[in-house]
Amino acid sequence: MALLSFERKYRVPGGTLIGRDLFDFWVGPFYIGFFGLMTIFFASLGTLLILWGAALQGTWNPFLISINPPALEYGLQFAPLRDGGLWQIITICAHGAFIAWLLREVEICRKLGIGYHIPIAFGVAIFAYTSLVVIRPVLMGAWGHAFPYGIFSHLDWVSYTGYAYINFHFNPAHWVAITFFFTTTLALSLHGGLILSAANPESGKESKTPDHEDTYFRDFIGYSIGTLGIHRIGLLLALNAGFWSAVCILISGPAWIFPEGSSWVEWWNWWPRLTTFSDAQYQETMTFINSLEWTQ
Amino acid sequence: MAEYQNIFTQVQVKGPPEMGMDEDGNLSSERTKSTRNNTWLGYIGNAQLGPIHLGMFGVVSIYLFFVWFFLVGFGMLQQVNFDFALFIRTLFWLSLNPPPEEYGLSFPPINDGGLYMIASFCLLLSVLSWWIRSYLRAQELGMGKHICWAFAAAIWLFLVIGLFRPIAMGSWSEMVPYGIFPHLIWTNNLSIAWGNLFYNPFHALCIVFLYGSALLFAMHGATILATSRLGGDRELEQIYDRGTASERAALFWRWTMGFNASMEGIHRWAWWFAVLVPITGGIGILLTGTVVDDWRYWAIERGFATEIEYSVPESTLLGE
Amino acid sequence: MEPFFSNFDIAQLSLYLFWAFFIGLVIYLQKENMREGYPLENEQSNTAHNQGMYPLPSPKTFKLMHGRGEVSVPNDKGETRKLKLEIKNVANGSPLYPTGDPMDDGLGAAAWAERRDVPELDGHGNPKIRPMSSLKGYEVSAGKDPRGMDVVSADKVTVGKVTDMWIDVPEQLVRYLELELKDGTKRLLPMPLSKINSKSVDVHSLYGKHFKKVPTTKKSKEVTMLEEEKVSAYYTGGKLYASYDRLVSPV
Repeated sequence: MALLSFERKYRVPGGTLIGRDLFDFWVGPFYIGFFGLMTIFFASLGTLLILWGAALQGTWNPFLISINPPALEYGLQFAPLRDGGLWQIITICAHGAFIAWLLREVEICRKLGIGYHIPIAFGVAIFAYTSLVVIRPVLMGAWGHAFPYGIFSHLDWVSYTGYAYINFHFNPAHWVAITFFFTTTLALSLHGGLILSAANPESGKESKTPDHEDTYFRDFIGYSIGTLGIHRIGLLLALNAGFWSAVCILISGPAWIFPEGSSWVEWWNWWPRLTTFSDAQYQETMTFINSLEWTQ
Repeated sequence: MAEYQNIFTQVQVKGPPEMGMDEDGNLSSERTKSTRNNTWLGYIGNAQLGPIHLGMFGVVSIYLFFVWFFLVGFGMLQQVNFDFALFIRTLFWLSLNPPPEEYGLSFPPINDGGLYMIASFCLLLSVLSWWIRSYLRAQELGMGKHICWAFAAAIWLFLVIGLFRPIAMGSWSEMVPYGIFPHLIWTNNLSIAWGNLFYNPFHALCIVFLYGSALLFAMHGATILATSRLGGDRELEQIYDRGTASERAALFWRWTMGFNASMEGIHRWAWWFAVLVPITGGIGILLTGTVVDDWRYWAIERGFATEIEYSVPESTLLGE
Repeated sequence: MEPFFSNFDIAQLSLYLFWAFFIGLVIYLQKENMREGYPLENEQSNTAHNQGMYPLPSPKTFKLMHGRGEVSVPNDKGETRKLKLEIKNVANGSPLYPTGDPMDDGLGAAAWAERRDVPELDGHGNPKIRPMSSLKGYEVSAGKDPRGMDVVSADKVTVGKVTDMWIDVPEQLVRYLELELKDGTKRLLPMPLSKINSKSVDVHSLYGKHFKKVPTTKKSKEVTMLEEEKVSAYYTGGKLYASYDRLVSPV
């Protein structure tokens, strides 16, 4: 089937983790491998279960379909299918599909002889997902704390979960995660822009070199991280965005860390408490804070 | 035997400093003369700091930025009546605030939002000046203007929040307070006032591109590092003369997800995803409160939300 | 604000306009990414019947510096190497089998592309990658200096010693280690495939027996892009082909 013009020399056997050469082939552009079949199995099963759940719900509007986790009362048990059990099985399928996808990426890396950075990066993303649907619910004692699988319903979950802590913007790990997201976007636009501006110069001019790239950023901000460095920092920024997002939600909820109902807004009172030297002074400071505009 | 993963440089070398390309010979006079080597930076990227270009727009921009910064500090000090201990104790809660609603779009008294307006004007000029710098630095090197247009997209969002929307709403009071906690509260209030911003489709698109940018940079960064053993990080020359690094990078993704980018093209995907974050965000903010006053109701009217409140296991609802 | 008709207001109009723009953008981006590797081919090296749903973009031209001429993409240059592969299974999507040693023939993980046989140049027109011993004013500023250390292969054989480092001059980065084998000849070793320990340098990608077959450079103080391709591809090939257990799964 259709190969890129330079592809043939790479289409060799080898590098599999399981199955030797039994599944070592391509369908169209897609590499299959044992884990390709595993992905197809879990993804299909999960999708069919989602469709079944939609049928039970009684809507086919993709924006309204929502597969909900079990009610909190079920704790960490297996719930009845129509009462959250479907969500549980779909979650198992999701893990199967994601992990199979990761291992398939590993097989592809081995065949191409390249480093494993991509599947490892994907592993961080899977960790973020697992932290929301497994780790945090287990720490809080009920599957019901996980998010529903629905386009707008999962956003409702985010909104409600955020308000459970009064104002989630005040969670310091949330700040760290947001900063990493915004910085990643900034760095991505700069890197994309720099490469494109060097390869696509002003009309009629010659295409530039890495020397020009470094010169642009040294002129602009006094520092250029370099062709290798930008990719290291880009990967690290992006992975940290995912990691701290997982952290900020893992620390919100477990009873022994920060149970629901605790206020991230009030958490910050540790600083005035630390910097005042009597109860009266602390109360005075808090009264002052509450009198300010824009503190509610 | 473990393999090296190319995250941190193993051995750093230092030579005579790179003072920058200067094909016509007139750029070096505008650059600072000395450089420094920082080996901590050198473990991740280049160790060289400097030289920096000192031009009119850069100097003006930095000066105006510091004027803004000190005006904000002054406004905060006014809030605590210049009690420095209280300033330190309550810093994150302090702010220089926009004018109250009653003044509409007229210039308010200095102590009731006027200082804020002056500070904002300084910040606006500072940002625009820096933008001009981003254009001129590329022009003098004969390079494309892609970075400057990306910056323009970010400035679009900045202007929407700080200028266009307040004008459309008829009041400077819609502007964002300059303060750590206050600007977070402004954000929260915006969503509450206008019917839950999650239902604003441009807010959703903005987030898709934000998360998508993180996804893309993780993918691209990891792909280049994985092919760095074949010189994949030397992207420009790979664009002009395709090597096995670009070929394997493309094939990894073609075999994984069925389609792929090229060494130049991935940077176009990257640029657009990043640039669409502030573009869609700006559109979404501009429509909020002006065209649409309740995003959840807007969604219900158009069939992608229902009147039924999303049923949440009871104990996560607070005080309801 | 009043909707134009029924519920259709400015917000909805903006959304539909955005979708129209975005679809156009995706088509543009996909076409831009088709400047390399097209037209598509099949396993028999003929032009593929199914070229996908996007048309090729019209070629763009890069004017290169320092008299290197112009490059237009897409072009129909294609692969001119004679690849030592055979088709064992006619079913589409089956792998092709190397007929000889893939590391020697430059196939699979050891594959290299036909880049130009000239050195990459820096912004001033000089070769970018040069041995440190031929440069003035360069020194090791941090980390472990590997010069003089033993080079050890994956099967724990000491194959030689590091004699020099080849530097990317404008970017001040080590790109290759130069090692001298037991027979006195020199080879280049890509930096990302060397692990510098306190007293030795590990090379996981190759076994001891492979080192004498690492491709060499024509000149002792210069490396061309084609030579770089062949050298790095050879080591990378070892990641899959150096031993049987790397190539074939246990189960």
